[in-house]
Amino acid sequence: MPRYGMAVDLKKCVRCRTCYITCKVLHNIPSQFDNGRKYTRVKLIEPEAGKYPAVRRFFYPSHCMHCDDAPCVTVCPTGASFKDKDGIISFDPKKCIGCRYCILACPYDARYFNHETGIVDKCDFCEDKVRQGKEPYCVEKCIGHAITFGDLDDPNSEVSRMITEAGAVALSPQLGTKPKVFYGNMR
Amino acid sequence: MGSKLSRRSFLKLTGVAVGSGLAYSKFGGLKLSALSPAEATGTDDEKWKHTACALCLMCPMQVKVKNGKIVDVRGEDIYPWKGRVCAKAYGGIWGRVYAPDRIIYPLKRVGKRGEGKFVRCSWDEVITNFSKKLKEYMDEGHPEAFEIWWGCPVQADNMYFLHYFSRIMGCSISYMHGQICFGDHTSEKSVTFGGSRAGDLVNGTADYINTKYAVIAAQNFPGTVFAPGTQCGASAFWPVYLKAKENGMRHLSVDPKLTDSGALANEWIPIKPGTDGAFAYGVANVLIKEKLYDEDFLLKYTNAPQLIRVDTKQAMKDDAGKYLAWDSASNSAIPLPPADQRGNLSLGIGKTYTVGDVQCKTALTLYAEESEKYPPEKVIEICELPFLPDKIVEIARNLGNNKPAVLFYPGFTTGRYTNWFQVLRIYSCVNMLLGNIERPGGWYFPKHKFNTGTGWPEPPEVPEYPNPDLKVVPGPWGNLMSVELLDKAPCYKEPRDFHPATVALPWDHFTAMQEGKVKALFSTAENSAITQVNTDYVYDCLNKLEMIVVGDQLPKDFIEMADYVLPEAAYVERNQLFTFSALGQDGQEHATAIMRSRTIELPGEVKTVTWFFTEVSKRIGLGAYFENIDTDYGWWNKMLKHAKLPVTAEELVENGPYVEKYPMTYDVMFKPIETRSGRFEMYSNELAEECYFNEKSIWYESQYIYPVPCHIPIAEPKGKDEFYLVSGKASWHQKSATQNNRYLMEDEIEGGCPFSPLYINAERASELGLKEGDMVEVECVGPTKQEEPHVFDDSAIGYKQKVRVHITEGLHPSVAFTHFAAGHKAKSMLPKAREGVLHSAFVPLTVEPYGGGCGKNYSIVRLRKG
Ligand code: SF4
Ligand code: SF4
Ligand code: SF4
Repeated sequence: MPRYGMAVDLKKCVRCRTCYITCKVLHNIPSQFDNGRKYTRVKLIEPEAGKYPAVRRFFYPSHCMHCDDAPCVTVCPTGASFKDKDGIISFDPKKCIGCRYCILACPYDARYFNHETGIVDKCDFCEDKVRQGKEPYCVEKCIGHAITFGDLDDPNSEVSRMITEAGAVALSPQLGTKPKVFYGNMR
Repeated sequence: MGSKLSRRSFLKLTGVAVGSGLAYSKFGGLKLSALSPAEATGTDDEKWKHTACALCLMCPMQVKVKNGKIVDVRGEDIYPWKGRVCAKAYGGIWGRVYAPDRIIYPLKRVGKRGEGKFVRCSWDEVITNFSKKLKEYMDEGHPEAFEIWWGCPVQADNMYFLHYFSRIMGCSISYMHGQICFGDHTSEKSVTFGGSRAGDLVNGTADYINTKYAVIAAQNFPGTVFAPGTQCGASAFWPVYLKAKENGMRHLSVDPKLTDSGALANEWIPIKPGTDGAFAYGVANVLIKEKLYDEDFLLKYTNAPQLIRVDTKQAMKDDAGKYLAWDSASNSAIPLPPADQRGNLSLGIGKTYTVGDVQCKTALTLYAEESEKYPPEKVIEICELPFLPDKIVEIARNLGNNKPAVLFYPGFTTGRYTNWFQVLRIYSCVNMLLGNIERPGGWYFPKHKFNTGTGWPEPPEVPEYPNPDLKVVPGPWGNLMSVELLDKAPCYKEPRDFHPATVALPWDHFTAMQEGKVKALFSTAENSAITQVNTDYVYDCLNKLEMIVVGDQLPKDFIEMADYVLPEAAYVERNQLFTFSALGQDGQEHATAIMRSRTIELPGEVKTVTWFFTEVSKRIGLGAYFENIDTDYGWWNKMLKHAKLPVTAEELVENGPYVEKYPMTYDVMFKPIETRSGRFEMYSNELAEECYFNEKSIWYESQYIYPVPCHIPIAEPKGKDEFYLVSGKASWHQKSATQNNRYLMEDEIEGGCPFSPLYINAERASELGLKEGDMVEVECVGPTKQEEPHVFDDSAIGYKQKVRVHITEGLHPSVAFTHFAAGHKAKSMLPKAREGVLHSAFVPLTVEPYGGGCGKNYSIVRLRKG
């Protein structure tokens, strides 16, 4: 059984925002202009740093980190949030009672509450696709070929090599949740 | 009427009832929702179909159609796309084609123009009234009082057909938007490098993957269709850019704003607006001083060695009228030889030669002398660059030492003032110094292009053309032909007022409206009501018209000005051929033919524009010219045949792109240089003879077209509260097709670059006591007619709008920045599309001599808190 993870090579990310939009439209996530709410599984983090003219703007797409020690799973009272065998932090909408504990527990702000359906939603690594042997949408569609996905337990997988060879790291590892999404060439 | 109400009432007229499930599943995240109810019924056919995007250019793409609905999108598996397309391509399908406010019935205006009140009407009513109006003008002998404006060649439904229609009817036609977009660039490149090389140089086509150092100005390139490198949109550019970076290219962004491409670049040079010419001359100055120029290139391919009289600054000619150059072997003047012949010519920098009894200097010497006005310290001061003077030296050395694998590109977006024609000329000359044309890593001209012609039906296919006296001249965009009317007449008189490669002369259209010479207008694939500058004046002109008909898929400003609105087929609902030659990340030329195709059924009463005009032609009694035209396949097959391609339009639709691959070949002389000297012109003989020294020219003795390019300062903001108002494009936007788009306009797509607010440099903001999110009133205060000789109409002065500020360190202090086409007027657009300032409304209409630009970024504003 693989243990799935993802790595984003920021050197190849061209800030095109295709990952954001494909995730939205292909997962039928309503537009902000349908209901006035900003639902998204992918967040684009783009902080500015420094003083004019020595100023830079960083950019990275962020979503559920599929933490190995996932606080969202621990706090979920019904088991709606659970860790699947392949390491994907999965979600059973039928069991969700809308208590939103998981939203509070998640240190990466990865979840949102869908007011229309009354349940929570977040990135699931496109698990339906992955289990058919395909890649998540953001990986398949990324203009820069910046995102890789695969088995973290296989040292030869592209995603493992991004960690071992290109030095991709998790964001805020000190939070101790053991994320399975890594970022390489952070500048 | 409240804006919300307006939008709701507009929605009722369009696709669906307000508040219904619209076209979307509301169950984001529910695994059950992979299929919408509509998809769950019906037959389960599923097919990837070949078509093309249109949100900026025409990236070849496939859409997956399931039960008649598009459910996925991907790029064609050809270079440079290799299966991928950008965010806009997805926004296009879900936020435009399937938008709940999609216009699917013909509409008739019932309120005042601009009020946004419409009722549904029949196609018959539109066709009848349109035909009646056009026929009326035709009967009066003035069909040209009816104008067709089209804006985007990939969004317009068969612009060749539109031009044919105008030829048959005798009405005017204009690629109105093109001038704002790139018209002055095309003119300058034609003047400097000759017409046959202009298009590729405007596009910035380059051997990018081998480039070592690229200086790219005024351009957030993903948001600008003409991404340097590939001739195609952002999706084609990124793979090439990344390959270039992988190969070690260093990229320097020269822009008042730290754009997305600036943030990706190795270095950002924040420049003060209007000073680009001084910057480029500063680079030239170092290149010349340190002898970092390519002498061989200059002697062989440019008129740098051409002799110019010291007394008059005119070209020295022999008795036969030939341009002269200095031959160092015979120590005498000889006729400037054709390009490619270096002979014993001399660049003679700093020297004076005596020919007969006339003192002469070389063109290069004059350029060098001009460059001496811009030593590094001076450039830092003029451009208000926050660096030591050594920075200019460093940039010039990087260019000089890496030549010819270097690019020096003036860009499209954040520049564009009345001095822009000369800015472009100065930039062009720096590229000549660098000898980077048709060299590995430099500018490149694809050698394999398909010559498709226009597909115009000609007698005997159709009856002899009516109006045999109509003069037809090359129109915008190469192979298009135009009736020589408004746009083109000033370009063909003696002497010319504008270069024939200008795309449109917008002010002439507006004057014609004011004078009642243009009385009706049809517009498609553009939003010129607000993309032309000086919006109040534009609206005033439009309000004078007897009839306005606008076609589109979604509400926009121009639609609210229309008397009739046409529900136009979207780009994936009709057929069109495109050919181009893309440079891939594999280092090859890919001569490509693709078909945009109808992948889904037309919703409601949606029709193509070609269908509409065919119906109109029948009513007018000229149906014979249109009845046998097949715009789905026949038209395109004729063009494919003209290009001698072994493929039919049907096959392109069924099987996808046709591609011929060629290795890149570098050859400066692959076709003749169509300038007056037959060489790339550092000293422009055309500008000298046509304008500057020509007493009959309206530009006689104007420094804006002085044959040796010069930097001309523009008007400046004065007070502590005054700024240049500069607009640029967001990476995920491009043109009217991407605005009002419910996915591309979302807040969350913006990351750290909010779309609607006014960006202000942090220090300037603190001086004005402004904090993030504060409201300011923005008022246009210039350039006035006193400050700027080429202001044509200054209605914009005094224009005011309120906006929130966004405070950033990534902006030149002299600038207030807004994204292009924020602050829309139309009440039927998304509320967010109306937030912010409408940049064009703050730009007085200026006319750039000979190049015909409209100074689209030339605006000075005053900010007031609250
Ligand atoms: S699609 Fe890829 S390149 Fe584009 S923003 Fe997302 S990660 Fe970056
Ligand atoms: S990122 Fe948040 S939602 Fe995702 S697994 Fe970790 S804690 Fe749970
Ligand atoms: S780059 Fe332009 S044409 Fe290409 S997919 Fe994106 S929006 Fe469409």
